[in-house]
Amino acid sequence: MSKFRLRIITPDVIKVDEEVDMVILRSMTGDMGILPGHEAGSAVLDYGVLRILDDSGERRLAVYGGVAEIRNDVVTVLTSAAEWPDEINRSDAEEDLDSAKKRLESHHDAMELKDQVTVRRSLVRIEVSAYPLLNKSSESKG
Amino acid sequence: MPSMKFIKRRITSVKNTQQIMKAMNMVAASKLQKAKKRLDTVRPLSLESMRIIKNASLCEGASESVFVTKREVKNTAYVVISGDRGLCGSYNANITKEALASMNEGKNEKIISVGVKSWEFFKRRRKNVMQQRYVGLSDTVYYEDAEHICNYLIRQYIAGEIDEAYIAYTHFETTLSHVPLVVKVLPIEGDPEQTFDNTEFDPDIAAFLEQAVPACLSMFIYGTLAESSVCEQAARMISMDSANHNAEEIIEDLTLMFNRKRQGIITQEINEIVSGANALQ
Repeated sequence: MSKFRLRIITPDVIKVDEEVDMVILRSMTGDMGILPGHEAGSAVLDYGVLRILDDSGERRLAVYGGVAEIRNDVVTVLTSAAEWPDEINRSDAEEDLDSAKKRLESHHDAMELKDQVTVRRSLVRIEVSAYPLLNKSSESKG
Repeated sequence: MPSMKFIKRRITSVKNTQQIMKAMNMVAASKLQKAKKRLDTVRPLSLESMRIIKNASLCEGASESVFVTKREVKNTAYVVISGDRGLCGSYNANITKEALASMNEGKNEKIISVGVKSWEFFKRRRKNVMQQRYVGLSDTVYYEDAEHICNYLIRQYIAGEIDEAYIAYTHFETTLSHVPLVVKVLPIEGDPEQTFDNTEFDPDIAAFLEQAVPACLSMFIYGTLAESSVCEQAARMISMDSANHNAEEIIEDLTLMFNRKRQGIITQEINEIVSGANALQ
């Protein structure tokens, strides 16, 4: 199966730079699946789960907004932050979610937008943390 | 000729200064290594982000976006990135001079200073320095700071307070060569020579630009902050190194002078003894 190059760049680190089979992005208008030979294009990303499919199976990554560009079989994702499941502390994410929800209920208008962002981010983190990188252990076995 | 006591005191004083320079040199060297490492990851991000929005700005329908449309220029914003502290050779002077030269084209400028040195420089020249200023970014650059600067620029731009925005920063080439640059970031101007094929945008070009420009611009600003920070540390390291050499030269000269003086005194004493003995005969 032909592959294409996926690069996920955050300000602190180049998160991913490898050949993959397929990637599924969460764009502003919904999920967007990309296979080799995809038409050139650009998309704005939403807070969401990015799914990478390659030989070793499926991996999920939490991506918090940003921009994706597809050109000549290279997919570049620029984002302010991205996290692997094992980088997420699930209980912290749940705590953040609870406190942000509580604050939203008590209506602090100035903070409302910030809390809404926290809620969205926490939901993504919780979802991603449910999919730990199983293939890591299988790779070491193989 | 100065007295021996005086020369001795000068040697000690130069030696003390030299020790400080050596320490500063080492601190700058370790900070340079760290900053260089960061630049390696930041540079692709910064370049890619600018390329994406520049390409998008050339696409059909992009010219209607507020970020691409050229307006009549009344006010121009300058983000001038300098260091917070001196003792780094001509680093601060180079970038502020470059920015000043670009301003002197008769524009009505608003200056957003990053770093104490650029703030002082433009304040002294009675330029229109904005209240909004940033300090403490030259050592540790955080992405949030870049985002903050970018949001400020974009708010001002949308409100019509500014019609153009430039960023003045120092581009890092090698440890010995740094290039001060003034780059136009708003409105976005694509490179018309670059051709590319049919690109589709999700959801559409207008919405893409609206979302992508703030995100990409803050990444670009983060890149310029990182570049400037590397240059500052490199400039400090080099100037401390040459200061160290100069101190060594001064110490050498002073030691020579000290020895000559001592020799002179001894010769004089011998002369006195000999002539005293001769007089007794």
